[in-house]
Amino acid sequence: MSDVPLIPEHATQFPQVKRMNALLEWVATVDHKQIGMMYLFGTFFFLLVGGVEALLMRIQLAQPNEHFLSPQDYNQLFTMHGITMIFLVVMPMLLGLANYVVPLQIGARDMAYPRLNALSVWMFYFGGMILYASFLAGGAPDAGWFAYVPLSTPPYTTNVGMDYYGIGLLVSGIGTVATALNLVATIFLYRAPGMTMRRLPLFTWMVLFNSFIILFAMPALNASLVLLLLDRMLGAHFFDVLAGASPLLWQHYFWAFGHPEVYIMVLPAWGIISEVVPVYSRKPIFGYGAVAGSTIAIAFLSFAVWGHHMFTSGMGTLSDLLFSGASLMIAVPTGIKIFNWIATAWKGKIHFTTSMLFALAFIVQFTVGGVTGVQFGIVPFDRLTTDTYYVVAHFHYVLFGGTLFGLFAGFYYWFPKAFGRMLSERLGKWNFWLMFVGFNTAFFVQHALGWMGMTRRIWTYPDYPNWGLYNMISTVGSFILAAGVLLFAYNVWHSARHGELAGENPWDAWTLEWATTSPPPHYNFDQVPPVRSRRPLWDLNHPDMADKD
Amino acid sequence: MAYLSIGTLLSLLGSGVSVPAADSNIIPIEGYTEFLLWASVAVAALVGVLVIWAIWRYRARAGDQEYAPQIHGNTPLEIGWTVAPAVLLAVLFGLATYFQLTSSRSAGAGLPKGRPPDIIVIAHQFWWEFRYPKLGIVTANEFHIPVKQDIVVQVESDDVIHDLWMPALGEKMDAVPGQTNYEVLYAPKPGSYNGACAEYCGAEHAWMRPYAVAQTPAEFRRWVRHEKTLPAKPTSQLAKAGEKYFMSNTCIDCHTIAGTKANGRVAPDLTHFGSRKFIGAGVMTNRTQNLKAFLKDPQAVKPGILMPDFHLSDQQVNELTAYLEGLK
Ligand code: HEC
Ligand SMILES: [Cu+2]
Repeated sequence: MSDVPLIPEHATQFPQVKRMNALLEWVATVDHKQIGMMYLFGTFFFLLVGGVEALLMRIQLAQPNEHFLSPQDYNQLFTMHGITMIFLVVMPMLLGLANYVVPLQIGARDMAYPRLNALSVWMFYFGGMILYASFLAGGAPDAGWFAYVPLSTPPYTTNVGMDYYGIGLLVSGIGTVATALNLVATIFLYRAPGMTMRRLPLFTWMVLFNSFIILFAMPALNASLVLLLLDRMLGAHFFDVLAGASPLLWQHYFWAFGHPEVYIMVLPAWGIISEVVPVYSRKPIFGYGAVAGSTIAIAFLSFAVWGHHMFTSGMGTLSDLLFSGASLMIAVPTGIKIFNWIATAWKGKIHFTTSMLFALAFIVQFTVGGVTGVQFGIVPFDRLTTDTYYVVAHFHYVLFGGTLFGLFAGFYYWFPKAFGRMLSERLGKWNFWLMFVGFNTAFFVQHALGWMGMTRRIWTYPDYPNWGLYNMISTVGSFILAAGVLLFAYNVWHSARHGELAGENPWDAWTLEWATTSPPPHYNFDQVPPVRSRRPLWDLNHPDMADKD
Repeated sequence: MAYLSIGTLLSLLGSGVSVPAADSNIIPIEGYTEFLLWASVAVAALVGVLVIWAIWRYRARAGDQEYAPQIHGNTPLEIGWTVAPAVLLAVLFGLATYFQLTSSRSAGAGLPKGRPPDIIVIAHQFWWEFRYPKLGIVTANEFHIPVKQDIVVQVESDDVIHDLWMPALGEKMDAVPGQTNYEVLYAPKPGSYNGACAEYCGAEHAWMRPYAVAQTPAEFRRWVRHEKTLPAKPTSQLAKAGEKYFMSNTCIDCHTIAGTKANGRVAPDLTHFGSRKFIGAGVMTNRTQNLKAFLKDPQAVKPGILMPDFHLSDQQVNELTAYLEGLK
């Protein structure tokens, strides 16, 4: 590797805010890379906000009978933490990354509808601002991110928080639908010549199916929010129990969106893992067809399982069993992915970059969250453990140990492309180990807490044997985890200016985004290399080992 | 043995999970639950071991050739890891369904055929009302059951959705307004069992803790007799003053005390308040000092509680405390 040519300093950069009109360039931009960055920075900001909310809760829960927060504060915090992490962090962060990467990966110049794209990112920002304005308007939402009626309607909520919830989510939700539409159109219409659907890079593939799920699931939420707002603000009776409505109606509406949402929050992360693991194992993905095909199965099944959130609501035995069966089925295509990723690393030459470490941790942690997920699909078991800290542990293993670890793998992988410089691997290793240790310390004990009868969404708890100890462990872990996240922010800030120059293709990766300069010029490609297999750059750089397709 | 093995895994140190004992609030591990947990541990461990093995065995070593063999897949293998999990899941589904459909202790959306409820539970923000239709008694927050019997509980709500959960005694079920659900409680041996409200229900969701006392049939009969007799009339000067205050104030609009004119139904029945273990659905134990603090300012003790602060004088608090403690 000694004859690597000297890497030229990159010419194009993002507009530097120091320049006068740079701010305008950001605000007025319709460039998918800049919009992607705006998503990523905005969502990272909200990650810090949601993280602070979580730490406040962890301080309150560190000991039994603690009075650091009042129940009213706590309830607003856990509600806002959930809403923030789901609607302002995980989902838009994945969309932001897709925004940046997908057009490059398919060799396109930009998204199909650049101005619609700009609208989407601003809808995300406005939605977030509306939600957080509730703090100034007399109180944040406090009925949980799931907003169960009748608790979320008068007379049981007394502040205006839930109105901000309805309007804020509606605004950002419309933006999300627009982005999904945009991604579908881009992927269908703007692929480089030769890139058939069966040669689509797996990240793009997963983003495509993710977008389909969004297109069918988000409207269910948006419509339900309108009904809730009508009930709250105009006295309609969609969910009014006294007028004969069933409170379960809202639950069906909400989870008909809410469970597909869980997959919306994980599919692109699977895509990241399916890019990262092969590249650092120096092997192609094992069983492209199975990984891609199982995603289609999941996209369909994800719409048939929402009832497993309602096994204790009294839907009736037949519904219970149907939803249970469908929920268990989803574990099969998910398992396929996990085994295929492991098989990809198997017999590879594994390079332990920070990105790869995050990806490997993803596989294990996501599996832990996955097996507890299967347990919740089983009706009588669900009735023991649901609404306890066992659930809290479960979905943090899926969404934090899974998706966010996947996102960090993606950040370390694609940062050099976006900034032309490498993230520091030394800081990266610290970043990874702090997050890995912190995450597992914070959340593994919560399985035990749930088993010991600790219910979720409680602002404090009695001094039962070991509850205080385990909660304290969890709190300590959460602070270690937070330190890891902050270190990442520092790494970005530092490496964006002082990092090693990256060059076009620092990882010897094989998808098209690595065939242009880092960062790419405004128009993305001078020339798109020919696509004759799933790994166009591999064929180009290693003609002796070219894929036969 | 089973408790020990899985319990150890779950609680890291093994001290948290054990056989349900007195004051238990722990989910017992038995039957299909144990099978399911072991199967899960096995799957997660398999993946963990494979990943660690791959990391160890296939790490790129210095001086190693740079490229791995370019393997694109292996259909029989992939079919294998599609079919094997499917079979495992089918077995799990079969077992759990069999359990759900045949167990006499499975919860659901309607009463089991031919079984009128032993207890009707009405959930309120933020306390529990227990009515025994066959025995004609009413209690709040604390309830008693005979051991080694399936107790059919009908669950309802008076306001928002709650959920009655006694971790050591059975499955949980939501209390949904406008709907009746049921669950079955079974206490394997005498003792006391802590519970919780398991569905988020507002400010004091945390302090909505039902408390169950399981008794031998003879003890239980004694308790029922006790509940059916009216509490003794107050005798001390202080308690009499307390009764007078209670009966001439708004307390009676919310609370019931059997045998008096207090017959409100929006707050806990206080007929035998003096013999209950907790105040405010678990927020404090029922001791003189605690009761005084509660009456002095309920909002300070349980912020968000639906009992107003009456700004009682210390004298009034003492009187009321004496009266209420005597309601045995
Ligand atoms: C507006 C209705 C209302 C009025 C009036 C009211 N209470 Fe209460 N009270 C409640 C409610 C509701 C609870 C249960 C709160 C909880 O635990 O969440 C309660 C609980 C209590 C408890 C604790 C019961 C238990 O088992 O935990 C006592 C004791 C009590 N009230 C005494 C009084 C006295 C004495 C008065 C009159 C000075 C009074 N209450 C007036 C609504 C009321
Ligand atoms: Cu409740």
